[in-house]
Amino acid sequence: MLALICALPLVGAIVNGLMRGPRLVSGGIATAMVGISAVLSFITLFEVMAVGSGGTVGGGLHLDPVYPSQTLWTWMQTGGVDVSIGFRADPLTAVMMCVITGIGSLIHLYSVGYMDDEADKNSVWRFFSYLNLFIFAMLLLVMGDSFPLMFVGWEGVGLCSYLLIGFWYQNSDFASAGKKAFITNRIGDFSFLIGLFWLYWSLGSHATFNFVELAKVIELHPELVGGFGGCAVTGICLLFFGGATGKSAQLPLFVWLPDAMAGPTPVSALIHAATMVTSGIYMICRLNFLYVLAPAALATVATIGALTALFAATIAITQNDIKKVLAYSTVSQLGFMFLGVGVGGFTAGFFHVLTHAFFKALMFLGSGSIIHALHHEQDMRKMGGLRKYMPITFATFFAGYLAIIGFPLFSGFVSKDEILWLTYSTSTFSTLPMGDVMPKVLWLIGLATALMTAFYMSRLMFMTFFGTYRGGHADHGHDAHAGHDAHGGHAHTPHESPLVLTLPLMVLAVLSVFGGALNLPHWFPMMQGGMEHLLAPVFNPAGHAVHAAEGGATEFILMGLTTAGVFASVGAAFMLYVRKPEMPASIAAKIPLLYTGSLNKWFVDEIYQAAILTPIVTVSRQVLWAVVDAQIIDGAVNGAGTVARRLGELHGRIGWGKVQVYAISIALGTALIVCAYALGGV
Amino acid sequence: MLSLVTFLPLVGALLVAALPRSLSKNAALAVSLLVLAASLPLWFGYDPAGASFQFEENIPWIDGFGVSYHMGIDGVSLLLVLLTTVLTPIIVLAGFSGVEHGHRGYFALMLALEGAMIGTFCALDTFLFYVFWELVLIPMYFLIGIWGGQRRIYATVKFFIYTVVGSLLMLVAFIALYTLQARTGTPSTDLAALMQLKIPYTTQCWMFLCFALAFAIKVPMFPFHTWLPDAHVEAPTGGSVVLAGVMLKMGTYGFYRFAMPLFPDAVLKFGPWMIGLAVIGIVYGALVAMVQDDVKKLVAYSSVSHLGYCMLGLFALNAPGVSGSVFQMINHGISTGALFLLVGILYERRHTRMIADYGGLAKVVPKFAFVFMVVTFSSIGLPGLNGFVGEFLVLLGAFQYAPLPTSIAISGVVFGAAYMLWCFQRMVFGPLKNEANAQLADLSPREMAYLAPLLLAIVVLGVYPQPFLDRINPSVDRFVARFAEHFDETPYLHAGPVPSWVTAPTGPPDPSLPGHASGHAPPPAHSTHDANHHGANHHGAAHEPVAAPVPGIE
Repeated sequence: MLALICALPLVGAIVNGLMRGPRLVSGGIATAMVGISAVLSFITLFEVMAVGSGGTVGGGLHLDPVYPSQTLWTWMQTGGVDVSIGFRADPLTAVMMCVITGIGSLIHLYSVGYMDDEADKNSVWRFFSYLNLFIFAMLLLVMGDSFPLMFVGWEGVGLCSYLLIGFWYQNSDFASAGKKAFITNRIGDFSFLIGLFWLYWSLGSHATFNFVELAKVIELHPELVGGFGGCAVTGICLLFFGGATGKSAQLPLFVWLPDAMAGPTPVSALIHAATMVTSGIYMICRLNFLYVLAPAALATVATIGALTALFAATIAITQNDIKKVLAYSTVSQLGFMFLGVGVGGFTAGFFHVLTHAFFKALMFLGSGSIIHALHHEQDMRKMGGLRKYMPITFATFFAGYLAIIGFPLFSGFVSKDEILWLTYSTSTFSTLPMGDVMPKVLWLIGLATALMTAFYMSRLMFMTFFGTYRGGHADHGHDAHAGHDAHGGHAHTPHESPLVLTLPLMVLAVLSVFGGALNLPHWFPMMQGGMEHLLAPVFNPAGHAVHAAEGGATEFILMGLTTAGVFASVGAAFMLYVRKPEMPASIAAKIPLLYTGSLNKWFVDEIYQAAILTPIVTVSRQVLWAVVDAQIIDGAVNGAGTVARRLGELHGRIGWGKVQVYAISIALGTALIVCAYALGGV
Repeated sequence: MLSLVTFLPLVGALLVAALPRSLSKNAALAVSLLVLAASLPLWFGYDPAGASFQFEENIPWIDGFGVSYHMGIDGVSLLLVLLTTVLTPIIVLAGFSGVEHGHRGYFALMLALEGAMIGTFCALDTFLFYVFWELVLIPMYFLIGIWGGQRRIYATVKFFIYTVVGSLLMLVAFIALYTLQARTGTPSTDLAALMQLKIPYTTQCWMFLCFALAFAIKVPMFPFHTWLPDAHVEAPTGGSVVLAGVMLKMGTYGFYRFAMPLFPDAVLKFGPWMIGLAVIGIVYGALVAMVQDDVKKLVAYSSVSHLGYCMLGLFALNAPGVSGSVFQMINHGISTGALFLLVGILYERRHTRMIADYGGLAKVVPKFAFVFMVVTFSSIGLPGLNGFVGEFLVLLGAFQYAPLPTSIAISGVVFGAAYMLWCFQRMVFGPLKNEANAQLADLSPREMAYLAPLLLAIVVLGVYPQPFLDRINPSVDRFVARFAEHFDETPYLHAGPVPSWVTAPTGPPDPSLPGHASGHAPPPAHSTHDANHHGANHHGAAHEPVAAPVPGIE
């Protein structure tokens, strides 16, 4: 069954690639394949829940829970290395499978409607084929029972991301964005692979790539990774985290994600919000048994996460492209997840993956609905007042908005508040220098980010849905953003999207509102910690690492503080963007440096270009190729030829060819010397 | 059996040369397919659990000197022979168009080349090997010199000088080996006999250097690679495919079959330096490939990078590394062969190899773009395709032996993606800039027919490589064991000057850990070495390794 879940989307991708059907056919096939996978995934989840957390047999011996697994064939086996194609669904995997296929099938359905204005009708099958291939790779990533197989998925999603970002490949910028995403991810993979090899060889005779065996080995012999006075495990964890910063768009490798918005909007929702970009968090959760041994690595994860969250928020605050705001918001929220995982709250961090998948996919799809209605207009300055024209999109988007800003009891509130509280109260860093101050500082950064999030999301909300529509009068026939020109005439007022687009919005809106119920906090009267219990067997070794103290009054005060701050931010945004729309410009004029910096993404791309890319290319071209290859090496070769010829001219011609003869005589001379050595008896 | 596969193409070459011009294409194709058919029993008949060399033929040839016609294959030669017999029909079929004159000569030389290459991979007698090795040069020389591009004469001479210098050094070393063998009273040029020789350490070093230079030029390793871009650019499509697909592997094969097993002590001494050159090759090749404007040069430099992985794996001296290296040889033959075929297809239509002359091809020639994409991702080692399996095993193996240099080599995965994707994007994506490309014809059925097997191989080798690994594993284990047994005999190797960049231990530094020193490495053949390696680091030389004088042994 596991293999089937994984294989169905692959079959869909291949069938669509071969059939090249029109939109409804290829979209139908693709959606059906993911839909069936989704049903089977939920069945698997229930199976896994039924397994429970194992048990104990007589004598107190702990019995490992037996989760569904399936091994297909031996992939690579040579000299001690043994890797199989095998799947395993423990609770962590099962939840991810449901997210991927569940949200995946909604987004597939949505895409069937969304792609109807695609200029090149003959390439829609390509879109669905790639989308299905993505689901396959993503499932492989979470279901693979060993590192190499996970890596197949890890790079496979990168490939699909590359293909889908550059789906409108005739636009060079879009194609470049795809390439940038792939190469940036490869930089992360570079780190990932070193970490993997280091881990593998540290285990000596216990070396394995299989996650289950790995967890056992580490549990029994933690000293194997304790080399260099414990620095080995820290180094390994940091290298893995390096891989995560690529895939999950954290500092310093986040630069690809905003550019990735070049892809069609459903892609942004599925790949660049709900699933692929959370792989880094999934990977760290998967390796929790390793990370708990390395508090310094966890501290780095938390710090990078917090800083990324804040940094991305400072950019999101000034962006005018609706998808760019959502993109930086995603980077920021991913930072939150790493913060949660980094302070030792694996469940909290992972739960934010889940709720974020709900509300961010919702908001991306909502923005897609707007973009679709406005004929690929993405500039919020040309929107406004859409509430009246697109009531369903507005209502659902509003639900997502309340979730992300952390309106009490909405899903985002539950998961974000848990992270903030764990950050404040964590004792994971108690052994580190500054370990007592760090949680408070991280918490402050988290709080600041939460307030900024509330502000910029309110700004987006007000600019898009409130006020009056600002796009109708301008000439909106020419569209520089989309790679295709698909305007069926000039619609003068925006219109609500059809049901095929709004149905997924409604489902996701319900999840965004009530999703928090899956893991309610301990002070809630009922159903507390559902996810906590479900994932306990996976995070068991980490269970003692987090001391989520029942904070009593402190916890509630902090929560109240956060919530009050959020409301204040919303109020500020309301003042600036509804009451006094001229204010933002005048504020921006007063702080030109900050404003320009934020608007231009703090020039990170430009800095990378100038500090890294240009030097590498220049050195390669001007030094390696032009000097080392052409002058030094070839110079030596040609020089040898010339010397030989000069000698030959002194000596007079013997009648054969020139260069060859002297090459031969040089070689024979060397030969004589070697023979002398060999025969002379050393 | 092996003689049949070796000499059938040679006989076929004569046949093609003798037949009238109009028949030469089809005759050559028929011969190459026949050779392929004849080579298939080798795949099915090869018993991985059987003798180290199979399908052996051993006939005395020149009695007085102990020269014999000794052929035989192990798992590694098996795969290389099959690579040759699979690629040749593809090359012949690709040559149906694009070869503008002298069909008879072209196809005859191509078949002769095939025979000589197969012979090189099967020869177990050093003299015989040398004959085949040199025989390969002649058709290649003419293929580039006659059917090549504008600067073909420069390229041929450069190619020739480089390889002749290498060949002669190899010949010298073979003669020296023969003399040593002759002193034992039974003169022989047979590899098996030479393997039994106890060769003094210093002599080993000199001989290894001779061999290493000859093979390193062929591979080519940095800094002996500059003949390759010129040769590739000037060679006709078929020539480039053979050159990259098979001929370069003669170099790595030479290391595997002769240079390394014959001189294990020298290998241990020079291993770190070879690894250093391999790593430089990987990164340097990728960086220089990135800035090429000519797509053929780009692929040529990418070969320098990919072959660097092969060398890195070989000198890792453990099973994953060497298996990965062999696998990488096959992969490179398939992926780079396919890349050159694709470039050839474009060149035939547009007569330019400049990347800047293309752009936006995906719209005009979608089938071509699809194949190009799959091959591109195969070349950059996307997991699930063939390139990954080789790269992963090579890096995994090499990391155990030399963690820091291997870490540098892993950066090749970034640069590799960079140059291939950049090239792909500039050629295939974007708007159609050049009007001349608007009418490009997509792949013809013939072109699809010869690309399809390569695509199939790219997927099969990536998803189910085990049957191939099964066949090379026993041979690789024997190869690795050859060094393991020398670790004990030559303790000086570990006290010798090891560059400090290979000494970082991969494991925990605490030697008191129970079972650590004894059970560190999973490949049993390698564990002795590993233990010594660590021992040297932890006990003997916590400070800088001292350059101890190296005593010889008799």
